[in-house]
Amino acid sequence: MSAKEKLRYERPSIRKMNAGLMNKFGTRTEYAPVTHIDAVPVKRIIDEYGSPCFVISEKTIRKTYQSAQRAFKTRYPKVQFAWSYKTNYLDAVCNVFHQEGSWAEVVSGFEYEKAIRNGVPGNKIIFNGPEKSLAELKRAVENESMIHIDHFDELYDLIEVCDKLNKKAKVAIRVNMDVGVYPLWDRFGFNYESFGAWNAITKIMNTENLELVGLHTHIGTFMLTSNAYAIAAAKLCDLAINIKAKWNKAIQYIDMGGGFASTNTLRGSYLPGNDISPGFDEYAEAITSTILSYDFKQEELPLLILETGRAMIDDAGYLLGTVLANKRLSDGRKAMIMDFGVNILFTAFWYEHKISPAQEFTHHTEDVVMYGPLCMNIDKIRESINLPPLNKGAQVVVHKVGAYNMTQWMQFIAMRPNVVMIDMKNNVHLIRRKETVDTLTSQEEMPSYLKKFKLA
Amino acid sequence: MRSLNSRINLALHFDGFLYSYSQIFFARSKWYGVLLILASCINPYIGISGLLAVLFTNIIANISSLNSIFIREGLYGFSAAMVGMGMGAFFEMNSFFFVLLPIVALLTLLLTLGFQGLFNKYHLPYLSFPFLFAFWIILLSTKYFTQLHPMISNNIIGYKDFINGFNNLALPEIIITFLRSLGSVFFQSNVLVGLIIAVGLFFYSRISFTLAIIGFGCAYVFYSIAGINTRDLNELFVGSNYIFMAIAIGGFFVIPSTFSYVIIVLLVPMVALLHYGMGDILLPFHLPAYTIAFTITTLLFLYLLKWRFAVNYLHPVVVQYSSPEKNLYHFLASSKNYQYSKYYPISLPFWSEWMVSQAHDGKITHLGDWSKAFDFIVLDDELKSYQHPGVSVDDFYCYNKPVLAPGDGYVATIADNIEDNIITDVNTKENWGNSIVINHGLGLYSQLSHLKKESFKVKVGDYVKRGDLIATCGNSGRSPEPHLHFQMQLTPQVGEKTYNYPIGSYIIRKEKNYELKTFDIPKEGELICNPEINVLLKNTFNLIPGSKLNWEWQGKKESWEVFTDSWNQLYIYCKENKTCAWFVNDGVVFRFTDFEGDKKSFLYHFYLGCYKVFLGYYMNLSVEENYALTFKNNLVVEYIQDLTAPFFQAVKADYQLKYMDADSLNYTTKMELESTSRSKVGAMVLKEIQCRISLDSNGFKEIIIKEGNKTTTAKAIWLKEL
Repeated sequence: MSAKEKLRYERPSIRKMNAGLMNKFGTRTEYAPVTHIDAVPVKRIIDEYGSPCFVISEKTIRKTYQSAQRAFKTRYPKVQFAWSYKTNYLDAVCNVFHQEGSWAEVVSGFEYEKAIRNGVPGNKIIFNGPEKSLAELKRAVENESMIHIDHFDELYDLIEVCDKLNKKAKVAIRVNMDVGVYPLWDRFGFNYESFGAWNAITKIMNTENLELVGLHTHIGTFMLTSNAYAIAAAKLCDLAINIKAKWNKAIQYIDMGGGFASTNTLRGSYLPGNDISPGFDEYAEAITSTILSYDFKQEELPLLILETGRAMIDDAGYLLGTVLANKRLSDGRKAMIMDFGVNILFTAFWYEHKISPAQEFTHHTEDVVMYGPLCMNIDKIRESINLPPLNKGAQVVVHKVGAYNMTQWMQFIAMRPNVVMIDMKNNVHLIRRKETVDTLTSQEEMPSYLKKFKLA
Repeated sequence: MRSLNSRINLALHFDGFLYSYSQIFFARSKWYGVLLILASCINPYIGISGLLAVLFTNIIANISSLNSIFIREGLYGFSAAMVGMGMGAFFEMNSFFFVLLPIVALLTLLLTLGFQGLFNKYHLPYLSFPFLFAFWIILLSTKYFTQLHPMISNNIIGYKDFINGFNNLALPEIIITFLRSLGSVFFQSNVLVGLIIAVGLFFYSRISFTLAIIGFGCAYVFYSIAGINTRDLNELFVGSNYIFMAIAIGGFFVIPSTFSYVIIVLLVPMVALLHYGMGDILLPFHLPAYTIAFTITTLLFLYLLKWRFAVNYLHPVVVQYSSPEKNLYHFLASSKNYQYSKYYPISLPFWSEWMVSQAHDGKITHLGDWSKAFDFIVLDDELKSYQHPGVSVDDFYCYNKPVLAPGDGYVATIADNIEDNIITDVNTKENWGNSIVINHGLGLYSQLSHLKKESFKVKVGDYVKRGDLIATCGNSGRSPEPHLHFQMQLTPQVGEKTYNYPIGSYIIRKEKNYELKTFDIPKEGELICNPEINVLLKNTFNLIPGSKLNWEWQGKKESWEVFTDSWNQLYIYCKENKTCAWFVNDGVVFRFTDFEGDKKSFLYHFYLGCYKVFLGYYMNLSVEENYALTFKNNLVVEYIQDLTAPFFQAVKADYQLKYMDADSLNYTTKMELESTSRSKVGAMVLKEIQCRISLDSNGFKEIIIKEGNKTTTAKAIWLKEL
């Protein structure tokens, strides 16, 4: 802080004395303010792009991608990442991943369209998900995309589409299985234990216009144990070995899906996410050592595809916001109202987000309840968070918000804010303009008889 | 079948006929053969007699089922041609002459076989021994044959004066003598005959022609210095001794080089010594020395070359192309290929990208007898080898990462009982830690050390293939932090002295740029990985004996098939143009090693365009190579190049291949490559050819060739399977 700046007023606070050993630091905390993101001042971003504002660090995306890639590629010779569009499908974000070499993994016709518009070649799009219309299937077949079949009805649809086109489709099946974790995601794909998967494979192998190129599973989300992946990989390898034994057909790829945990702390978790989330290395070790323990011939080792989304992007996203007001609740707890709520920070329902002040403060902190600005009771960002006393207008940085927020956010009460990206050279680019009333009303139609009214 | 055989025989005799003449001047050329026959026929008696002798010899050889390749190449016929010409020059053609001629032909053939048998034991050529002995026998014996009349003079030829008139041309004496010496090889000491031979020789081989002049010129100078009458050189075969010796040693049996040129200058006086010495020895028998001096000198010198322990210069010709130029250019090509072929390709023992933390002659531990080793580690994007906090082995990126077999072989030794060190601690007692040694055969072993305890996936005696997972990286032995030690050695003991050996092929990454290295030694600090092979490229260039390719180019069809020759070299053979292009494919790089045939064919352009193709696809990667003087330039440039090639290569030809586009890295169905071939003198570009090679899922699709302003397209024809 420069010497000229006026000392900031910080109101006094009273804290309950906790019993503990005496130490020379007193009750101070070691929280550090986050005044810059990738060397760009938070204050400057808010001045230019308003508050709240999402910030994405391209540097962090690339760094995370490369460390994931290193973790897998040093353990296994053939690895391919596919960017999970639903995690964050802002075009700029997708293209950073595509520049790094990621394919696209989409779960709807809308996402498929987005991938095509981003310039992803059809044969590098993995088409997942339980909803695929006939028209979408037709397009995917024509583009030679990898179609991951979710259920038998879809399989029959696809056979029909292929017969009409007289074109062979590249398909995989999604397999669900018991990997020893709860909940069991058996609503997607074909079950392994009850032979649904094997039946689907048999059907595909006996259909002329379908070529079984891969096997896919996605065992869950925010998996905190890497062992589950070892079990899943083993079951897919079993299928692949059996397919080779029965039809002498080497499977081209095994798609282990995503579900890797980020370092966010889940609500109700006793330990912070940083300490309990397995890193890429742990997941990679579990998956690759399992596949390598199977007797695939060197030249027939399946390509390992990974669709991890959350762990790739969460760290790269920040949400900048401003304190609207401080107040005290009836039970005496302090409360803080922010200018962002669960409407744009959807993950507040899942995580205890780390939130840092964006300016210098003293070492004294207090517990506060952090609310969003919505006139809705559910709009609570943190039930309890330890923060220094922040005045109205103070700025904060919410960490690790890159995944799902920019796709699951709601236009509810308020509109969605600007999203900016800080590039490798620390230049700030606007990658999604904030919505205006026109953005919303442009989609609305007014029946003529409702156009006029007069209030008495 | 019968008609086919007779057709082959006809071709055999026709070729054998012409080659018999060109072989006299160490050439294998039909047009030169025709020219030489014409020269010999300037005196029709000599000409006809020579022709008949060759014909008889080759027919007898064929009936006797002798090696048809030798017959075709004129190796049996050339002595007969000279003997026959000699008969025609020395005796009158009467009926007895024609009775005797076939017998003489048979005698020459038998002597040829005899000398061939004798000298082949020593891998030496028989040169003109068959001619000398056959002709001496004739000279000695025929004086008893009263029916055979010596040729008194060739007055019978009407245009004698015209022919002899050439001998009086106003040319320097040395040139007249040179040409007459050449003519005397055909028993016609005549400038016109010599001129035809000399001009033909120049067009056949610039190097032979130069050598002939140097050999003769030196002899002329030496004669003057030694006080021998230079007119001696005009006599039958005297001058040709020097000419033959110069061509034989300067460029035919030895790869032409500065050394070979120097040596012929030094050998000229020796030929003179032998000539006059042998002449006096043979005098009591009334035998002329003829080419005995050349024959003895050449044989003895070639014999000397074979006794050398090291061949650093004066390389003997191994595959005889019967042309000093071709011998030289193929030698340059093959000596470049040899540097690749002498090593067993060793791969890097890991997946993905690692960094060389210590290379050969490293300053830390790669010292003395153990200096030719590598240490490898894994780095992150900030070039750190560990993640925070870096206090345990698990924090290090390379720890517990798969270690692969660097080549096929048997597991010779495994040491697996040493615990990993804690970080910063070093176990100097069990220096190598857990190690594995693989026997690659042929006395070559590789050792991998500091592995993780109980991580071995193989046991002693197992056969491992290149790229098989054998263990994981650890921190055992003299290893302060996890790393992989890799060395080549000559025994199966752990900790044996290192052996300097290159890595077969690897990719260096610098930022976003990739560089391919073949048979090279990685340097400290380089980020390297094994080349990733692209399936489409691999399949496209997987040309094995029996593979067929058909092309349509400039309205003509070319059908190619892959064969192996007797040296087990693969080559593409074009039926239409009878053209061959030899290649090697080691699974990482496809490269042409040699070319022979029609340089107007599409195969030649294909040879240029796909001269060296790395079978992996890396955006922005470029492969560079130099052509070994097979690049076609215009005739004048080529002739100048021929003249200077034994000393230095004035004309250089470069090749560059760029990987332009591919639709997918893992399942490629379309790919574009672009190669540029350029010949230049210094910085001046003489000629440039660009080839754009398109591949689709079948393999080759089309090749667009841009040469100057002309663009042509060759399309691959894939016959639909029934």
